[in-house]
Amino acid sequence: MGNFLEKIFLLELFKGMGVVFKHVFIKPVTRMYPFEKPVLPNSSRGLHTLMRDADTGNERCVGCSLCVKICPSGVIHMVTSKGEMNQKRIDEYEIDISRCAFCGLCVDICPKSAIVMSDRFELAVYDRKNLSYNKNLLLKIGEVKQKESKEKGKDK
Amino acid sequence: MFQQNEMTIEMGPQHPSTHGVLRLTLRIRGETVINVDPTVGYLHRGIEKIAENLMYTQFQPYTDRLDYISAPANNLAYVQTVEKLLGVDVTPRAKFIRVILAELARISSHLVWLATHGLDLGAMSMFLYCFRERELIMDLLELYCGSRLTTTCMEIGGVRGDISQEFIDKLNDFIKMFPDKIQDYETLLTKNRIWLKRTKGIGIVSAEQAINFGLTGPTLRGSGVKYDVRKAQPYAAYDQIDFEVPIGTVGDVYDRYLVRMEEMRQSTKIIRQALEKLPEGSVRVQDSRITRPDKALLATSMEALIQYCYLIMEGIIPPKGEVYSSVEGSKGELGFYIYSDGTSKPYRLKIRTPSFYNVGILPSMAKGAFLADMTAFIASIDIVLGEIDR
Ligand code: SF4
Ligand code: SF4
Repeated sequence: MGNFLEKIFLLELFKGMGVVFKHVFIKPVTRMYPFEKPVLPNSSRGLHTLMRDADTGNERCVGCSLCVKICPSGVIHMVTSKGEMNQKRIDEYEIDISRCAFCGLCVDICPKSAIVMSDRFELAVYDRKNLSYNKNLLLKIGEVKQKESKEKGKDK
Repeated sequence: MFQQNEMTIEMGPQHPSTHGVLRLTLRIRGETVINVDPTVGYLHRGIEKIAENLMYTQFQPYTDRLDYISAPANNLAYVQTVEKLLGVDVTPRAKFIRVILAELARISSHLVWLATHGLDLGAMSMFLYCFRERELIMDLLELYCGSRLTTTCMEIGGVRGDISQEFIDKLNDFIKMFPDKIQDYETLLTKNRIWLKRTKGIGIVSAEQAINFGLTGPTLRGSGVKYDVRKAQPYAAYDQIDFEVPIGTVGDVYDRYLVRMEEMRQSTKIIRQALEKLPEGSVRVQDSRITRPDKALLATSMEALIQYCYLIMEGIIPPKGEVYSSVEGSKGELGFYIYSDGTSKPYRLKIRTPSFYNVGILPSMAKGAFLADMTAFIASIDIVLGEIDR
């Protein structure tokens, strides 16, 4: 009998419509993206940065080239030479973001924590050449990141 | 050759309901499908060949790109195989975290399936609701490892990092509210007469046929065969977790739908148990062949520094031998076979991807069916082309 009534009165369809109707009262979850930027967690894997030492201001990278070795896509390009006092000097350090897989392996293995990932994710550019980030650029992004994290620390 | 009013049409590779770049060559007479010929390979990237040129650690990000909507399961299958080759047993905490991540992947993959399955058959709101919940899982994965889709969240000998309290809290919220959402989906579809008309009694695969075609996963279980790698050869921490393996009876599209819906519920249950039982301890094994020394040690200990650099420059070097190990991915049995010649790169790596075998059933499923049901068939075997073509 119940089955029959269900069939006649389209009960299951109305129940379904009820679920849909319920959503009229629920706050929408849509994020108005370009106007409303998402807050990404700290762990998020965005554009790479090169960090400076917080105290001395020197570059943290020592040119060990482990990141070059581990990178599965082979996008890190590095040239080093012997500087004063027999120290290694990093002449070129370039990451070709267009082929980067954002796997984060380079960040994991860097013994000096020199290369880290920021939360920058809007990486689209008009020219392919601009996707290749050199050392100065990466250091600059790192400075911004360091500043931001300092400010965040103050807020807390 | 052609009888009158027989026609050959191409469905795909650019077709919205082939779920990727699958090309089907259909021979139809009127509305009836006479023959289907699936052509795969449009997304071929040669991942197996790439593996031969990469060190074991380096290959991990590539496994994300197989079944890109449930990446953690692929990561798990791969690292587990390398660990088996090395004879390493990971720590209990790592095992439980692996279970949690793999089940999250399963739910998110099933949500994508339900969303697109609904959309293909005209249930538009399913798409919106499922993607809303999937977004929460993506956020969880991002919180854990920093990436939403291509997670690379495991490593050989453990997982990438420990889970934070924030992650646990958010996960708890998620599994608390998710069963209600599944109930909502079921209210919308399970008894809906339009849905029943479009799914019941079509695309029937008998149990015998399913086994003969090598189907696995929900596609096999929908036909009533109780085979689940999680039960048959328990890996990670699945032997310590209590869950059911749902099976269907008839083996039609509707049964496969029911099986997957129930699987989502079971996955929620598994995650809840895993969170309760989560043991304390490290998430990485201590094994000098694979574990890098702590970064803090590098400044003081020369041995640690040497080993650190050695492990990265030379890579992980497993013994000679061949090994196969598989997990129950969201689509079926996902296995890796590695032939190692004792160097840091695999000599040969073969991936047994479930979608590749599952798509093989399509011709016999579709023979004699209506053209309009093709989308239901494709959605119900739940294929992902990144995995088929690899
Ligand atoms: S691993 Fe770190 S320290 Fe070594 S070269 Fe790369 S960025 Fe520099
Ligand atoms: S994130 Fe991965 S692919 Fe990108 S530079 Fe680092 S190691 Fe290479």
